[in-house]
Order: sequence, then C-alpha cells, then structure tokens
Amino acid sequence: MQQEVVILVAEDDEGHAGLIRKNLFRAGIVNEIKHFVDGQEILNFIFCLGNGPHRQKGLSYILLLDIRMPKVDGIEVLRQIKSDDELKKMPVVMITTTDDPREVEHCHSLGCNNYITKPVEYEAFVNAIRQLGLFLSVVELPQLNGKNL
Amino acid sequence: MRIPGLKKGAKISYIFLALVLTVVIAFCSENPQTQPLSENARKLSGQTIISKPETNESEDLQREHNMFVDSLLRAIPVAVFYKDKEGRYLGCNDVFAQIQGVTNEQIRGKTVYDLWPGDLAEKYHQADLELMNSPQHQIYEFEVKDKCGNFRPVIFGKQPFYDQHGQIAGLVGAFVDISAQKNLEKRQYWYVVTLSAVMIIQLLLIIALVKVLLARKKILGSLLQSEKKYKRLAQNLSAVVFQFKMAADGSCSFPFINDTLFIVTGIKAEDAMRDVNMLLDKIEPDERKAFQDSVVESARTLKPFHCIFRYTNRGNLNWVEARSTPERMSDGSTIWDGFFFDISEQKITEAALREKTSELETFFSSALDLLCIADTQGNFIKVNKEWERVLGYSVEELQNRKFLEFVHPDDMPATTNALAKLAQQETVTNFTNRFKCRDGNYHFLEWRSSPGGSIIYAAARDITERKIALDVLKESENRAVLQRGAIAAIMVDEVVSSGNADSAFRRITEVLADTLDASRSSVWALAADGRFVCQTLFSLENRQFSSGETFESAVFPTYFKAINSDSHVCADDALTNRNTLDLVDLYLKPNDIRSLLDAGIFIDGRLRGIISCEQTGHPRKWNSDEEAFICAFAAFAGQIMVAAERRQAEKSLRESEARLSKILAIVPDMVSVHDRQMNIVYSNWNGFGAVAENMRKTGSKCFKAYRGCDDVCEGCLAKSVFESGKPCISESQLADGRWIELRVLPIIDGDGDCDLFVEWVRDITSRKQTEQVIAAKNKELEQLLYVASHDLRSPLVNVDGYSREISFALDELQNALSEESVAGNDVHLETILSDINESLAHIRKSARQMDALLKGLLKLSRLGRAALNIGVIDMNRLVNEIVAANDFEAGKTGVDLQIESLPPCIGDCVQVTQVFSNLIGNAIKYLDSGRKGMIRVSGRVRDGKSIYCVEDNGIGIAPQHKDKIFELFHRLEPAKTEGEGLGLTIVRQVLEMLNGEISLDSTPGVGSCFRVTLPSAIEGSKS
Repeated sequence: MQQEVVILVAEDDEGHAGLIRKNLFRAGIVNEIKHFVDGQEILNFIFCLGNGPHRQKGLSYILLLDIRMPKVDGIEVLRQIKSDDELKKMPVVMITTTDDPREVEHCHSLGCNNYITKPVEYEAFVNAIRQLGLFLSVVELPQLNGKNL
Repeated sequence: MRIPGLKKGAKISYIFLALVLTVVIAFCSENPQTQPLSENARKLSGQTIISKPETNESEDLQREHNMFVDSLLRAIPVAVFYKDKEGRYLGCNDVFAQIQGVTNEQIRGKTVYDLWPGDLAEKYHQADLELMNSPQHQIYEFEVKDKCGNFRPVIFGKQPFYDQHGQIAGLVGAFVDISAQKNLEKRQYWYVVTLSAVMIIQLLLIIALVKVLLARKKILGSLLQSEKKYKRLAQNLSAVVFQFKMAADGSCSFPFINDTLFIVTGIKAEDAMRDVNMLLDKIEPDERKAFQDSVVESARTLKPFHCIFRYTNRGNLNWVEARSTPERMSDGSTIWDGFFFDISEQKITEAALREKTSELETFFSSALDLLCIADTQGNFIKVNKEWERVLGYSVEELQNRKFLEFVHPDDMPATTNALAKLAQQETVTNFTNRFKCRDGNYHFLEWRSSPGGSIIYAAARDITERKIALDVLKESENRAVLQRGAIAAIMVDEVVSSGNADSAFRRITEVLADTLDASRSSVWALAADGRFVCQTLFSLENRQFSSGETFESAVFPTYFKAINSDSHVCADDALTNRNTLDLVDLYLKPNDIRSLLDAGIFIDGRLRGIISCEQTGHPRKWNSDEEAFICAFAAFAGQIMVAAERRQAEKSLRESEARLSKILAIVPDMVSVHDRQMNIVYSNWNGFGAVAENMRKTGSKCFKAYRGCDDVCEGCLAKSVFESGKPCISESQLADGRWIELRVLPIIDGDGDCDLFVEWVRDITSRKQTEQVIAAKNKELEQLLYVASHDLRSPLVNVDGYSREISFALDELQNALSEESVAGNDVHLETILSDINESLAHIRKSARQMDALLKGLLKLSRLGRAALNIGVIDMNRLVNEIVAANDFEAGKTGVDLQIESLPPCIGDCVQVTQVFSNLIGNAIKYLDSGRKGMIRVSGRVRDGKSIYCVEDNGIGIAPQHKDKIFELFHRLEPAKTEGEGLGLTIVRQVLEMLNGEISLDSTPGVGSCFRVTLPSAIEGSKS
C-alpha cells in the first residue's frame, strides 16, 4: 500500500474503532489511521471546516464510515462527499452493524465504494477487514487536490 | 244469390226502355187516331148526325187517354221526347226537361241543330233519319249533353208513330242515363242493377196492369163505337143506297144511286148511273174479281149479296161494305136493292184491337214474371208460361186448380186476408207468400195484385233466391254488428287496457267465444324456451277458464308453416284440412275439436303467439268475416302482449331504480350523474357534496353546485373520461385541506356513445390522516427497530471482538511464559496484560452499555403499556415538585431557574411529570459552560390548548439536528454528557399519548426553547 494513503475511520464507538485498527494492523496495513467520533468531525476534517484538524493537500485518503453516529450520520457524510466534485474521488467504505438491504442499496446509490457489515462473529469481521486491507493494497487511490483548502 | 253480369244489367235497361217506348208510342199513336175518327164521323154525318151524349162519351174516353199519357210521361223515370217527321220537337216529359235543362215550351218546334252542339246534333239527326228510312224500333247507346254541359252516357230508344193513313207522322224517343251504372264498382253496381231490375219489374207490372186494363177498356170502347156507327148509319141513312141491275145478258147498271155516293166514293151519282164502270173501276183490282164473283153468285142463287172490299176514294183506299138483296126480274135480269157504306174506321179499329190483343197475349206469355188472372175465390183462371218454369207445374195443371192449394199453410191466413182486400177492390202490393213447387220445395213469391171485380190480375215474382240472399246478408249483417260491437267493446275495455295480460286475455277469449259462438277460445304465447304456453283457455259450455297447457311448435310443422305464411288457419273440418293434419292425433282428437279458426299473434313481424277459436263435436263453416274478426283479435292480443312486456319492463326498471335510489341514499359518499355540459342529471346529495339545500338542483352545473366555481374545475377528470371513454380514479387535496377520492365512470349507451358519466366522490380526509399517522408510527417503529438492532449489536461486536483480543493476548501470554526468560520479556508481558485490561474494559463497558440500552427499551415499553389517569393537572404544583425532587433548586446547581405561573392542563400526572423533568433535566445538562445558566418555564392558553415553554440559554441545537434529537438512543454529544439517549424520545411518546405536541426553537450558541402543547383545562378557553 502506498505510504501516503491515510485511512480515515469515522466511528463513534471506541471499541469498534480499536478493533478495526487492530485488525488492519494484523492484516499488515500500517498506514496512518485517523479516528473521528462523529459525522460532524469527519466532515470538518474533509471539508476543512471548524477549528479541528483538516486534511492535507496532495494526500490520498480512504474513508471507513460508520452509519450510525451522533450529530451527523454516515449516510449524510457519504452524500456530502459524493456531491463534491473533488471529494467524490475518495473511496468510501461503509462499515456498519446493519445489513438492511435498503440501506445497502441506498449507500450504493449515493456512491459508496464498498459496504462491510460488522458481524458479531469475530472471524467474519476479521475476514471483512482483511478483505478491506487486500482491497486497499491493490487499489491505486487518487490524490485529493486542495480545492477546499 | 246469382250475380248477373254487366250484360244482363244492360239488357234489363234495354228491355225496360223498349217497353217504355212501346207503351208511350202505343198511347201517342192512339191520340191522332182517335181524333180523325170523330172528325170523320162528324163530316160523314153532317152537322147533326152525331148526338150529343155520344160525343161526350167519346171525348171523355179521349181525355182519359190524354191524361193517362200525360201522367205516364211524368211518372216514368225516363227522358221522353217526340218529334214530327221533319225532326222538330213536339214536346218532352219532365225528366227530359230536367236532364237537358230546357222546358217543354223551349224545345217545341226546334230541331236538334237549334238545341245541341253541331256534331252531337248531326249524330242525332242521322239516327233520326235512319229511323225514318227504316221504321222500326231503334235502340242504341250514345250520349247527351246535360244542363251542366257534361256528357252523359245514355241508352236511346226510338220508334216512329203513324198517322191514320199509316204514314210516319213523327217519332217518339226516350233515353236512360247509364252514367251511374258505368261508374259504379262491380259490387255496388249489382245493387244498382238489382234495384233497377226491381224498379223495372215494378214498372213492368204497372205497365202490364195498365195495359190489361186499358186493353179491356179499349175493346169495350171499340165495340161500342162500332155499334154506334151502325146505328148512326142505319138511323141517318148515311149509307149509299143503290139499286143495281144485271141484265140477262150480263150487262150491269145502276138504275138508282143516292147522292151519298159522292161522299163515300167521290163519284157523282149521275156519273155512276150513267156508267157503272165508273164505280166498279175504283174497286181494288185484287178484289174486283171476288166482288164480281159474289155478284154472279148472288144472281144465280138469289141469296143476299154481302161483300167487303176496298175502294179507292180520292186516292185513298177505303173499306166498303155492301149489302143487298137480289130479286129476279121477269125479264131475266136481276135487281139488287141495297146499300153500302165506308167501314174504313171500323176496319182500322178492328185491326188495332187485334194487334193489341195479340200484343197482350205475347206479353202475357213472354213476361219473365209470373202473371196470372184469378178470381177472388182463389181459382187460377189464366197463368203464363213462366209458372211452369218456376213451380214446375204445367200451365194446364195450374189453370184448373185453386191456387190456395199451393200456398204454404203458414202463409194461408195472410193470403186469405189479401184475397179479401182484393175482393173489396183494393190493390195489394208487396205481398209475399210461399208456393209449393212440384218438387215439394216452397218458393217465395212476391205479389202485385189488382182487382177487377171478382177477377184478380196479379203478377208475382220468385224472390226465393233474393230471400235466401237477403237472409244470408242479414245473417252476415248480424254477425257484423256483433263483431263490431265486440271490437268496440274490447277497444274501450278497462281490463284489456289495464296492462294485466292475464285478465286481458281472459276478457278477449271470452268475447271471442261469445261473438263467434265457438266452443273454446284460447290464447297461446311463445315462451322463452320456444314452447307455446296456453295463457288462457275459455270454454263456452261451462264458462270456465284454464291455462298452462304447452306444446312445441316443432311438433306441428305444417300448422305453423300455414300460420306463418297466411297469418291464420281456417279449418272448417280440422280432421281433414291439410293445415291441421299435424294436430289431429295430439291435439284435436283428445279435445274433441272438429273445426278451428286460429290466427297468429305477430309482434314486429315475428310469431309470438296464437289466438284460437275451436268448435267441438262437429265441423263448422267459418265465414270470411269471422276470419277477419279473429285476425283483429290477434292484433289485440299482440297489443296486450306488447303492453304487458312493456309494463313488466317498466316495473323492473322502477324497482331497480327504487333499489338504486335507496342504496344511493344510504351511500355516505356523493354520487352524481352529469352530462357532457357538466349539468347535474342526478345526485344523491350525500357525503362530500354536502351541498346547501338551495343549491340542490339537478340541471345546475356540477362545478357551481359542488364547488361554487364559475367554470369547469382545473384538470376536470370528466373531460378526459368523455374523451377516452374509460373510467378513472384520482385522489386530490382540496384548498381547505380535505382529501377526496374521485371516481369517474362513463355511462355508455346502447350505441356506444358516452353522454353521461357518474362521479363518485368520497371524502378520504380522515383516512388520509390515519394513513399519515400510521405512516409516522410505522416509520417510528422502523426507526426504533433499526436503532435497537443497530445499537444493541454494537456492544456485542465489542464483547465478541475484545474477547477474541483477550484470547489472542492469552495465547501470547502462554507463549511468553513457556519461553525462556529473555531480555525485554517483562515489557512484553506488560503489554499483553495492558491489552487484556483494555479489552476487559471494553467488554465491561459494552455490557453496561447493553444494560442501559435494555433498561431504556424497557422504560419505553412500560410507557406504552402504562394505564393513563387523565385529569386536570395543576402545572405550578407539578413543576415545583419536579424541581424539589431533582434538586434542581437554583442554589444547588448554580442555575437561574425561573418558574412562571402556569395554566392547568388535562393529562396524566405521572407522564406529564416525566415530560417536564426530562426537559428541565436536558436544559440543565446542555447548558453552556461559558456563561451562567438560565432556565425559564412559562405557560399560556391559546385556542383551547395550554402551551408551555422550557427555555434555556444553553449550547443550542443546530437546525439539522432538530429531528435527530427525538430519535431513540440518539445523543448529540455522547462523549461529553451522561445519558441513555432516551429522554426526548420518551417526551415525544408521552405527548402523543396525551394528545399533546412538542416543538423546538433553537439557535446554536444562544439557547433552546422546547414548546409543549397539552389540552387546556380552562373552560371556554376556546373562545
């Protein structure tokens, strides 16, 4: 995986975030991982809003996005990202606990690149993360230009 | 009755005319004859020879004749005229004058050329000339121009008349107008001919009688005249007295002859005495020899000389009778003393008498009527030949018998009575009785009888045929009257026109059987299954009705073929009639029917039933009028069927309309029918329509009545339905917020056109509202499930994941413990233990999280199941208790909590407490740490609602989060504050249960205001 790709994890549950991180690591993915606890935080980062950290020009990002989050949910985040001409190049992988087909459909229609269900069975979850890691290792991600900077 | 042809009628006219002419001429020619007779007599006798009384008697006779002729000419309905031999009219009768439009005076002395148009006159003249040249009876058909200028066809009859010298003196003509006959149709013509014939016969009879009377009178009169003449001659010596001498040598001379000779012969006595041949030469040459022979004979036998001979006097041939007695003189000569006189008059009279007698005899024997002379004792004296033909007896047989023997016993009293009248010299006319024929049958004879002392002159006519014909006619007239009456009665019959087919059929079968006197009459109707069902059968014998019998038309093909082709079947003997042979075994014999008269009941040209008249027991002759009659009744029956069908259809229609109307009346929706112009044709005025009474008018425009618009509603469905012809349904929201469902259905008529449509409007506002509520509830439930499943799974993912992490850590720990202690091993162990602790912390946290979630769900569930105790709530007290119970007092939290006076509301005290404690708790929880917290609870009443506000100056809520905060387990700042994400969900849940609402005004960084609405407890607060 290209070193310059930053993995963004938007996940309100600390535990889940930890598990994702551990499993990515275990799958050999050592890219920088940035963790955001709600939708608003990740939006602020990507769209360079507010006082918090902002994304950097010239870097490639991949977003692992939980749907159910405080303030702004993942669907809204996805919609905003995919509505932006520059940001829509960024791969977004939905990671969520539900496998409601309508929600899956909705996310795909909005333009998500992949959809991973957080299974209760650890093995399945681990496999999913590993698959994600493999996915990330083979995909060349576009650099995001600093339009919004 | 025999129908004679046209020729016969014409022939009768000719005969009639001929007879009239004969009579007229006979009388006319007598007239000039009588006149010269008396004149001659006067001349012959000088001024004094005819005595007065004798003259009177002769004149009386003449006057009588003249009067008779006048009357006759007036009486006969024939135009009569007479002309002299030059063709000048001498006179005419009234009929002629009337037809031709002239008067007797006008035409006298005129010729045809003076009176009529040239070509017509020429023809008349030619005919007259023809008659003059060939003097015999002339009859021909030609025409006259009447007073109106029209040409009428007539039959002319003409005959010449003669003067005393036998020369043609002129002509008598007559004509009969036959235009009426020509124009009449055959049937009517028969009646006219019959009438004419009767008239002619009557006239003939009168003429015959008159002639008989006149002939008798004439004979008597002539005889009397002759006698008188002889007397006159004898008394007045009007004869020529002579002495004739025939010498022995045969030479003849008149030694004496008186002067009368000149009068009689035109030869002077002296001349005759000088030359005997002067006289003898004037004797008709043919008779001269006979005369001479008589003289010689008388001389030889000395028997009186008597000779009648013709003698030329002044160019005229006269009859002379000579009588003398011979005496033989001594010198051998013979001397006759005698006289001779002119007997021309007598001779002519005798000839006329002979002629008349023979004429009478001819007439008597050749007359077509039964003529007879009988006495008042009832004996035939003389009968004519016609009797033989009519009665079959010979004339001889009849003439020696009493005619009363032949009279029908029943007619005897009337006949005797008639005889008595005749004996009293009364004329009997139009008397009818029956005479027995040789073959034993009786014939009807109609009599005209005239008495002459004890003698009866009678003419009779065989009217048997006419009588029979009249009886038949009368019978058919009677039937016609009955039938007309029946038809008239049926046409106005209330039962028949009532539309009740059963009663109507009963009535017409009854009338039919009664009118035609038939044993049975019935009406059969074609049923839907193709069978004929007896609607009613009337039996004349017991006057009972029955019905129900059926038959299939296929069983009687010949019969139905006949009905279909001729519309009726008339079988006098139904057992042998070919049209009814089908019926014999199956129908006729079982019912003892021998004769039937059936007619088909046709509706729109299709056979729909049969009306039948039947005769049981014996065959019967159906008359053509009866056939027509039953056909008329078939038409009635057809009308009844049509009326009944229509009535049934109308009844069904009314019933279904009534049903429909009832149904529509209870339909809570508005149902209305409109036409293309949007006029309301029908409306049940229910439901959405809820139209003001004064607007409920059919005929008004739908948009006006229902929506108060002045033009067609925008997007009117009816328009598109008219165009497409297909029904359509739509839902729409009105301006006032109500929802309606509109169904429009085109009404397609029989021609496939759509002129009307049905509009079915249903107010679906409440349904819509319910639907919205349900949709909201469903969404909420879905959300709840989604959230619950999602949020409940989250901790499990952690539990499972970190358990697995611990498991990894334990493996590593085991490896580390089993390996030999190496440098840095402690560090490694520490890391492992720290990981395990971290994982356990996650697991325990997840467990707590899970517990909290489940508790929250339970709480929510309890909320839904809690029994509500609705009542008036004192909100001031309630809020103060909340503040006290939760240690919200200002002193303890450092928050400025202001509670204003709150209006009471209606709700469940426990639940409302929950609501406000959540709201106040939230307000405190989300205060801005950067400024002094300030919370205010206020309340007011508006529109029947109590509205409470919980305001704070806290962090506020961004607009995009306003809806999310009421979601289950949603927390805006999970990291910063405690809580289960359940408070506002509960608030909303509770308020929904209590018919309340919650809304939010908030500005991030300024504060929020939660507004709670609950039903007000203040009476009349609505106003």
